[in-house]
Amino acid sequence: MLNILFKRILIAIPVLIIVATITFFLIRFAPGGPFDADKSLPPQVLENLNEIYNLNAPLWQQYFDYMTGIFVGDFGPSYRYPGRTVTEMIATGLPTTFELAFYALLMAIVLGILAGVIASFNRNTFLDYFPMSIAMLGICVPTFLLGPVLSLIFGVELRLLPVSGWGLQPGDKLLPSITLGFAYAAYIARLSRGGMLEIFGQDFIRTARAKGLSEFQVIFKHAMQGGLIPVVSFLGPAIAGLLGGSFVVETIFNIPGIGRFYVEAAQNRDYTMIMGTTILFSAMIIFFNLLSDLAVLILNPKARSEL
Amino acid sequence: MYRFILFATFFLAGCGSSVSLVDQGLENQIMHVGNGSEPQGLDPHIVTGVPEHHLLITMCEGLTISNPEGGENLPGMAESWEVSDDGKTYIFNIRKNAQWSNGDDFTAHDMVWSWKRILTPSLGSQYPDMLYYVEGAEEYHTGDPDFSSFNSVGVKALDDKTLKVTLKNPTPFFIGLLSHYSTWPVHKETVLEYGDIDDRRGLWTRPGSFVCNGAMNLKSWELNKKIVVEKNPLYWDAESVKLNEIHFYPVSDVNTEDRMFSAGQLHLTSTVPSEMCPLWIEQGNPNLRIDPYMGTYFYRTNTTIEPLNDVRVRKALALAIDRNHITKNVNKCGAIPAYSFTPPGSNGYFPDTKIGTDLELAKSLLAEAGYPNGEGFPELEILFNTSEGHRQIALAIQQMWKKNLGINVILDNMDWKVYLSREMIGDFQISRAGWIGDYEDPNTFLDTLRPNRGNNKTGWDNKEFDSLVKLANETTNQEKRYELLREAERILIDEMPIIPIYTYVRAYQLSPDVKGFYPNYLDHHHPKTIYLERE
Repeated sequence: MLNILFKRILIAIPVLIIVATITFFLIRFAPGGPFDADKSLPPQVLENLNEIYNLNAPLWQQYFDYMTGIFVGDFGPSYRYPGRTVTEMIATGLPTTFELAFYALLMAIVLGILAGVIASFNRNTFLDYFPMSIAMLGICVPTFLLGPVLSLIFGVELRLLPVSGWGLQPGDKLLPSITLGFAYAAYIARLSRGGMLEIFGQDFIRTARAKGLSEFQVIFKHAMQGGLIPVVSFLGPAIAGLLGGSFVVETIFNIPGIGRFYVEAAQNRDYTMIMGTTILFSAMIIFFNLLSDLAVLILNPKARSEL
Repeated sequence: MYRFILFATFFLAGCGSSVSLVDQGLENQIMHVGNGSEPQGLDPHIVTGVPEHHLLITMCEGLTISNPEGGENLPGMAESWEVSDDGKTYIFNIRKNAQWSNGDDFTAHDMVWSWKRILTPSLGSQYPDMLYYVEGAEEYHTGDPDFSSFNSVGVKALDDKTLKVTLKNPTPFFIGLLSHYSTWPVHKETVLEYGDIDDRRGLWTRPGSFVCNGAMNLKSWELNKKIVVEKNPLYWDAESVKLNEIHFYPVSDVNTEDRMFSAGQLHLTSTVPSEMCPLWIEQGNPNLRIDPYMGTYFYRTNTTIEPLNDVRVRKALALAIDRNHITKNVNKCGAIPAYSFTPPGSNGYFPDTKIGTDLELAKSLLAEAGYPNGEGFPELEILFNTSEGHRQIALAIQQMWKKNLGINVILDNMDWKVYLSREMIGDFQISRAGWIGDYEDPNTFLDTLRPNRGNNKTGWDNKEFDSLVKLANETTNQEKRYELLREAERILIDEMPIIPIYTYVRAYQLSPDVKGFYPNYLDHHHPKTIYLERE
């Protein structure tokens, strides 16, 4: 297993370098630069700015400088926000994005598995149809609709919760976490229902029941370990999706996470910021996929034996 | 399950603060403001943009301040000033009690150093041209070897509290210019503590380090979250300041901002959702404010290419637009049809140009140009940056030109930066544009269309227009000067390198608790007149 881990990490490095290289050249070939503004700059000023930010150097030189910078952890200065380094901005935004993703995932796992297990156990009854219909809804309703609707109900009409901010007012983390987590809860509910149903039909469950174990023990001790494997393998992409997709929720609820930087950087041609966030997101996606693959290996004896 | 619901209900109810931020603000005189995007920074010599201006006007102050109720500027750091008879020399008397927020005395030397800083080429400031009216300023900034020492620039401290400014020409709007943040002072010692005179990083603007001379001072700054400014007790007019704090939220999404306002989290929004505006006007939303704003929405024509190099074609296009239709049925948020480039009423200036919707004349002009009924007219392209509002207007104009002139128009929407770079290199036929005045004088508009001005972008080069604007700026008599500018404006509208469409308004939502917040043309709101009170 260590062998696999090692191999996967080794593959990740060239992948990241390729991602960085492609991004670097793509954004440079996009028309428009970081200092283009509605009120055009005197050529003298533009020249000075390009000089200050090393944009006058040949492109290959800039590429080389940038890549060597990355290896010592220097992602360069932001072009849009003078005096801020990309590292500093990522360091302020990332914990918020992680926190948001964590609460959303927690909610998704708890609600999703609960609903899935209840549904599988009460197959083809109301307790199956009801949570599964809500789950279907959760998958279909996009966050950019769910967020504003929840805000309007709980914030504007009932005045129970703030409609924006993160850690500014009590309770302001609740609506964004629910909004972001809801679709994932729905997926998890459907996956765990399916996984559990498959397990319920297996011989070892029949054996457990025949031994006279209580249903509680059957579900929690025997069925869940196998029944939740689809859920576990879904978690890797889910975490990556939560982090990557957080920018919609961050915009709706005005949350100072990394997602907003990412989108704004692209619009502003903030070259270094685009690079920094792209590399970061790629690294996270690779890392969480690796993590969930490892978890599956640990849970599933079948997969282990196939190694 | 029932227990869970019960628990959740209690949990939610527990979180809910029955007292909203707006209610709390009333007790503590804390105002909550939606402020568009995250400011680029807080260094007045580096930043550009509206959110930055809203912040800086609370924290720093120039020689004069914009009159919150509109009109001539009021005294700021300078309590009075004298102008020489030829209009070229200004003596500013700095307030005896003017000081920085750290208690240092504010002197004329601070002003000289600050202007030296913004004119330092290696700083890369984006607004040095605001001071080009000062003798030797442009030469110093562009590296003219005869002006290599700042002593050759016309700004001198005669003593600690007297500043002498010598201008190239009498510039009647000079006092107006001084309320623009690029001319404001920065605290020399603080700036130099974190870098050289040309250091752009603005580390001195961080909370704890920031020193300036305005009514409020920087308290905290959380990136993309909130900026808090608090009352500065050392401000010369601190007695007038009633607000204790202003909280600025960077809210880039206009619908989020609207929900924040509706939920009682904001006193003031930066804008309104465009689809809601007409509805609110109809329903009479008491919080909606529509104020006049010194900005013009117009189309640039590329006068260097066929067929737009023919003035008859440009005029035909302009005459075939029904501006009333656009403001009433497309924009629907209070915009005013524009018949001149300069918005009428800027500091008492009223242009007398007219652009009627005259289809007969438009058709005959087009025929004269060799395109009767639009026959043989090449396909025209309207370039605009991606936005639903711009698209709607372009669609309406596309139809008008098709119907009225028989011209085929295609719409070309581009990402903001692509649009800017295409405009810059002249890769367009017709392009959507907007211009917002930097100070309250027609010059901030007309100057842009002089030849070799970077913001001209139309390729239009008219010597008569150029010399009229130039002459106007050398004239001290305001009435005579406005007559010259009106003449220039007539030439402009007769030549039509730009096609005015409408005059902007500023639409926003304001809580009825906010008092002393007056509409003004530049949207400058000095914090010292604003307070919170509920009737």
